[in-house]
Amino acid sequence: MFIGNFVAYSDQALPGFELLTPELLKRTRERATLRRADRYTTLIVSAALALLGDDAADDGLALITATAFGTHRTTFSTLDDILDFPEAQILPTRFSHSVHNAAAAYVGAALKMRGPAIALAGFEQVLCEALELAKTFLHGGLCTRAMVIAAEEKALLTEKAHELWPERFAADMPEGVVGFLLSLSPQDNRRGRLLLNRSARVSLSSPFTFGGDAKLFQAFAHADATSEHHL
Amino acid sequence: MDEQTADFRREFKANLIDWLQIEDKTPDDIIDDEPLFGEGLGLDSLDAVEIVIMLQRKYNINQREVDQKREVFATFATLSDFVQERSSRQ
Amino acid sequence: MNVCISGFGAVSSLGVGLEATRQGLYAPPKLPTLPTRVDTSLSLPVFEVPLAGESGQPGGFTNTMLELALTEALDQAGLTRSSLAGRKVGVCIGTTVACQLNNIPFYDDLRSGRAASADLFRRYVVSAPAEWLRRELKLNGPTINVSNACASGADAIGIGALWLEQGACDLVIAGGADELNKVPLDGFHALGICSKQPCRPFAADRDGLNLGEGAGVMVLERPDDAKRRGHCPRHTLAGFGKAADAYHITQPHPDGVGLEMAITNAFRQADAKPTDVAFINAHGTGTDVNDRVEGQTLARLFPPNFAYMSTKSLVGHTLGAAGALEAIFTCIMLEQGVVARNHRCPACPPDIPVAPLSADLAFDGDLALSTSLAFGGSNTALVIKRMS
Repeated sequence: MFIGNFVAYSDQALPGFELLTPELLKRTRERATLRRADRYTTLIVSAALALLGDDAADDGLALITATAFGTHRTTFSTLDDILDFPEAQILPTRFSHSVHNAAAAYVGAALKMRGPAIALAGFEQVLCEALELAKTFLHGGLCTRAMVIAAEEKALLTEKAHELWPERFAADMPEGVVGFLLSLSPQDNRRGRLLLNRSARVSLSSPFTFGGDAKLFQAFAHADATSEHHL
Repeated sequence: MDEQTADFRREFKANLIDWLQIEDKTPDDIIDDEPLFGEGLGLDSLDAVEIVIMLQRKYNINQREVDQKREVFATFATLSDFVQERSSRQ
Repeated sequence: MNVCISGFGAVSSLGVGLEATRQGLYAPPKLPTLPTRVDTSLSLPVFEVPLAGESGQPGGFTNTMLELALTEALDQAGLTRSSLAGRKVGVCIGTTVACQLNNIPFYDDLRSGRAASADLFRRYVVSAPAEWLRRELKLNGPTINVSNACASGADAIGIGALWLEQGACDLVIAGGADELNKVPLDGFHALGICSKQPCRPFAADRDGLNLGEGAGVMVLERPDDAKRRGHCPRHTLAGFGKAADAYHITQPHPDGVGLEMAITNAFRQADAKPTDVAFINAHGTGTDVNDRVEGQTLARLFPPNFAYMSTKSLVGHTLGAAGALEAIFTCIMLEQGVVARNHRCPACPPDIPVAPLSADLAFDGDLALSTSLAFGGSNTALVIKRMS
């Protein structure tokens, strides 16, 4: 599997990551129709736009999103509604955006994507599983190119996670997104070959998608077509 | 249009922009007698439900009443006037 | 695609287990009732699973239902839990509720700056269904929670089948599970798509869905592997098609473009055509828009008077479990040679060219289609075949 493109944005200065700035998110909101979209969705769409660049999506392009906490800011807004207002006065927009695949829907609409889109959620190896699934989709002929985008937004739960489970979650977890554009065609190769080996893989030290393995992301960011990445 | 109605419409436009997250629009973009849904503002059925709930929350207009008067959703003016009339009754 | 469905298990409002499910599919329908486990002031009938349990607890009732369905599926497949430990077994589970921390008292503590329950948070982190099953059964294979809203369960089964075809693992546990919960209940009500009556999929007077709950689990295998251990599966998954509408966050594309593409892709994999299917187990939620788009799209793609129905008139909309449960109902109906009727739709609605089945129908074919349409314009089609 070849990496056609790689992007990474974080609010913290991490090796291999570009800085996630309000300007970047604003630019994304100008380029795509994101009226009701929340921050998590905007992160995912930002990565999708950057991955594709000036390229157009076609029916052979698939999307797999991966997250641990997902759209929990919006989920909690819905809970605010339930706590603060009569039960018959919950706002439907918040609820409908609290599903993990809302972000995929916005990418689909922004890029006019008709290919398969899958939202994954998990706390253990969700980014690796998403990359493995992209490989399965590509080899299975479900798509000719696949975007894998993993994101975590900073909100109340990620801020409190360390307090609630210090051994598992780091204090001051970064916010951000990483994205891969993958293909089996050597013509699409810009950032090298990605070799996945499940049995050799050790669990990333953090369940959080980012900061788990800084060296790895740094390698992707600096790779060229001759690189070889083992994961 | 009397001054009170003009004031109410101006305020109601600002409210709609806030509720429906159409920050790229200004109150001037909302034309009184143009259809509220479809082209123009680009509002859809999800916005309609959102408006109904905000009317409940902010103006205490219950859903049944709105359901019986679907025609007030025709244009911005019809909706605004309905809300103004209802709130003056309270 | 040729992947064996070696066993399956189901929990829904029809009851726990396949016998209760089989009977329930053809019996006079149980009607939805007001929820007993969800604290709500809304008078919305739901299809509850007849089991004691508590709603809104991470790793709670959803995983209880999942485990019951899994136990039955393994039993049907002639497998034991211990025989799977350490093997390359993939787990792919669709869910909506179980991947979100929507416990209201926990959140109230959190937002108010009071000490929120660390225990509850930890349970949430370790209870994501697929990862939980992998740990419980000590499995060693790909592990995914699919959170693709209402198509999650069908997607999970399709992904499981792809894993086997691509050699990612040797056996797959795939399905979906979701419990009734206050947040989706209030949310679907807010969207104005819950009926206060028993739902009436495809009917002229349809006015919304009833939520349901349940779990459906399938054990999938490659045909050679099943044969080698002397197991004779009764069904295969012949096609999995998936496509997006790229249209709207809560509504399907008015012309059903994504659904059509998903069905076309599934048929291509199954090397089948629309005239080959005996029946379609449709998504049919009972909402105005879904049923119109789905009914019209199916009528466009299939021969006149094709047979279709929705089991949501029997079990409600079970969200993340729906696609998996409906695939299992499809297997049962293929096995029985009788497709169950679509309840409470006595006549052809004006906006859909063909009426769903109003009476149970015996058939001869061995191929069926199950469709799922989700929030965000995510469409999935599964083609299931009965083995001769």
